[in-house]
Amino acid sequence: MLKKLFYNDFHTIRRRILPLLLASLGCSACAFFVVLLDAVLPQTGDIAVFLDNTLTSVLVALLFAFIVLVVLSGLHIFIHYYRNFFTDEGYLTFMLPATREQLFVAKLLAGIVWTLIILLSAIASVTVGILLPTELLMRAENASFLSSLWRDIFDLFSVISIVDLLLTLIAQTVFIYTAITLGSLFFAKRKMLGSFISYFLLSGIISFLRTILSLLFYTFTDAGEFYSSLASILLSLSVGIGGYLITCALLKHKLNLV
Amino acid sequence: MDTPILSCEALSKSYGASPVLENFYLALSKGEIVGLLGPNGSGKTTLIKLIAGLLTPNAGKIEICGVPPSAATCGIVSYLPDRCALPQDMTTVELVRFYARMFSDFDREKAETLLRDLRVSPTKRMKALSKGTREKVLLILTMSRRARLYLLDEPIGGVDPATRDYILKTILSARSPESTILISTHLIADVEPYLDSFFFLSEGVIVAGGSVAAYKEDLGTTLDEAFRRTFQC
Repeated sequence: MLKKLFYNDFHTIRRRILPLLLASLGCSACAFFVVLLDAVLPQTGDIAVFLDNTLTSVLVALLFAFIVLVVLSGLHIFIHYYRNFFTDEGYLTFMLPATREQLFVAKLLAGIVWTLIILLSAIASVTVGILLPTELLMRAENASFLSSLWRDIFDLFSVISIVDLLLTLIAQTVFIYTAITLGSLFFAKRKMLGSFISYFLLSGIISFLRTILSLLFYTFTDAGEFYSSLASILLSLSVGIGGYLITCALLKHKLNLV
Repeated sequence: MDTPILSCEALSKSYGASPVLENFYLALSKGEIVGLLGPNGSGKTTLIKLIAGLLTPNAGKIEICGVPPSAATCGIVSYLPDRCALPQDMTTVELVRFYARMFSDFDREKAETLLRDLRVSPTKRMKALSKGTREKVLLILTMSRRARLYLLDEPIGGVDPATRDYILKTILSARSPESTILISTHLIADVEPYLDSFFFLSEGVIVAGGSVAAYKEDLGTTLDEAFRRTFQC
């Protein structure tokens, strides 16, 4: 049943996000060609001005597309959760032959998978749109600058920091789902407002815990990236597990669809 | 003695300080079509939602085939809410596929036949259909399941009279003899010929009930007239 639920959630989110994703990749393809043209065509007179302006516009459009993709995709993922559980669609969702845990986990997995797809496509957009044409043309200054930039970025991502990043992503998704659940179940007439209030309250609690945890680690261990990542992993695990348990308990025992 | 298909014992539900159901008892046998009848605000929708597991009771218990509402009972209960629960950006074809995938008791052929008979477009999204057509789609999908218990909350209120007749004749009459239907409606005259038993609900309390045939014989009147007299303003 979990597979069927995930399939449904994944494709429902896909319907909304795919056009944004394709638009972003389209901008990236445009940037690729403009950068190539910029390198190939003679840099004289009006052509140079035209190419500079076009290149600037395309890079700004690519950055804008990237921001829009990330923001709108995130919104779609969370709106899907809210709509499917706490609006009229909930009358169908909660009558499916699935446990509340299965319903929640399916949405969580679909949300996380799509977030990863978006992040990877954003990285691909920047790589294809800017780095790749520059590298291909072997423009020494830019190529070495950009190559060394990517090398520095990838060096930052040790195994532990990738685990930290993934767990933070999962915890953040669970956290937002929990806030939406709290807001929708306890603020029946002002669900959106209730969700925002819950989000800020929970954020406050987590920030407080993060501060305590960091203080403990820096006081009792040698400060370093490893322990910093470990503290972050512990916190993400706590938030993720705590959020999951709270949300499932609420969906099982406090659901009141009115 | 057979386990009742549905039993409610000492069921209570309040919204804030307002009680809707108090110490409510109900037992339904299999194979019946039962009318849940009452004026607005009498607790019909609340009762149906409690049975469906969409509301948490304040007290009491509900059992469907001896088991509290859960994922397992969702597999044998088909619920039609009093609002459109279908995702608005799905087409009819997509919804049929969705139901076929999610519910093992869904009769896809029956659903497609009914949708064709009622001339529902297979390719239009729900948001592009009229309110009445959306309600038809939801009703068809609900009744195309081979469920043990059907919970129908105002199933024919939003459809035209011709469709109403078709639905009552084709859908209600063609159900399995093992299935029980609990139907909440204001259109008593339309459903009366199909009901085996009924309950009049007023402020969360059953004020009359029993076999429709016996009640009509005792009172010498139709259920519709009895309802009007009982709940006269």
